[in-house]
Formats: sequence, C-alpha cells, structure tokens
Amino acid sequence: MGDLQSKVAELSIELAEKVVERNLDRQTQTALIESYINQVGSN
Amino acid sequence: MPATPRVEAYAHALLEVSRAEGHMGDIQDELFRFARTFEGSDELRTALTDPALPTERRVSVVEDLLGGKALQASAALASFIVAAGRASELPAIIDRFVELAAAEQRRAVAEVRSAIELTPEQIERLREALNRATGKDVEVKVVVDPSVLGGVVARVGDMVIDGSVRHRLEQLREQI
Repeated sequence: MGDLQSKVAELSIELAEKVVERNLDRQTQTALIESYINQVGSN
Repeated sequence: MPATPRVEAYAHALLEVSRAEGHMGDIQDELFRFARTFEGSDELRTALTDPALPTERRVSVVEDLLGGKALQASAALASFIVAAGRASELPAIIDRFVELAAAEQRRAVAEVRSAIELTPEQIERLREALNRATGKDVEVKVVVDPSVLGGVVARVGDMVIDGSVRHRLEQLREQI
C-alpha cells in the first residue's frame, strides 16, 4: 500500500514537472524572477 | 585626503604581499597598530625618518619593535617601507592598505542560475538585494540553466538562496 502511494506521488510530481515545463511562459518566468528579487531584498 | 599615486602604489604592494602570505586580517591589524604607534611616538618617527641613520639601523628598529610580537610578514612589510625611505608616509600607506583590504574582504561573487536570461536592470536590482541579504559587495554572475525550470537560485560562498521552481518541486516530492 505504501509502495503504491509512493508510486502515485512520484507520478504526480513527474506530471507536475511536465506541466510546469510547458506552461512557464515568459510572463510567468518574469513574475517568478521579480518575486525572487523582492523577497531577497526584503529579508 | 586622497592617496598620492606613490602611497596608492605602496598600499597595493602591501595588499598583494599580504594576499600571497594569507592572514590578511592579522597583517591589517598589526600594521594598523604599528602606524598608530609611529604617529604617537616622536622618538620612533625621528629614528625611522632620519636620513643620517643607515638603512640597516632603521630596519633593525622596526624588527626590534615587531619581531616576535607580529607576524613575520607584517614586520617585513613595515621594514620594506622604512628601508625604501618612505617612513614619513608610513601611516598614509598603511591606512590606504587597510582600506583596500577591507574593501576586498567585503567583495563576493554571486553565482545566479535562472531558467531565462535576466535583463541588466533585473541584474542590478538583484545585486542590490543580494548586497543587503549578505552584507557583502556582490558581483553577480548569471548562468542560464533550464534545469532551474523557473525562478532563481543564487549562491554566495556557502549561502544558497533557492527560489527555483525546481527546488519547490523537490520540496513537494519530500512532503508527499
């Protein structure tokens, strides 16, 4: 059961990665970079 | 007062030697104290700047003062200035050297990985942000690395600030 659960989890992550890779458009990339710069600067 | 070209050149020479010898912090402290002693003692100033006194005598005064109490490199650098007949400029040279060494110790390189190229303006704001976060004077080197997926990961020395999508996915993997 635990084995099945971890396999499902692994697949979910792989799926998430694929979705992320295809859907991170320029605008989202820029937003991520901006958010990073603001966070680093505010700490 | 801005350093004269000669003071600047001597200060750089001290910086190079202390970098090569290591222990830059100790050399800075010891030479800084020596410069203050020099300023505070008429007797010492007179002895070290007296052109009638042979070079070996002037150098031996320095060796007597610093020998055993300071690093060999500190004593050698102080002797070097005195032997060159520049004792009158010793405090200025040492103060400039301490400034240069402190600036060098503040400098650090940030290796920044991003999935896409950063604009010069983003790099500048990131540099300022990393300066604040690390307390250093950071030089940003950007590496475009698609494996980051999105966001940015910066490494300054031992410090890693990871805001990458890759990292968030890894965290998710650990949580599930």
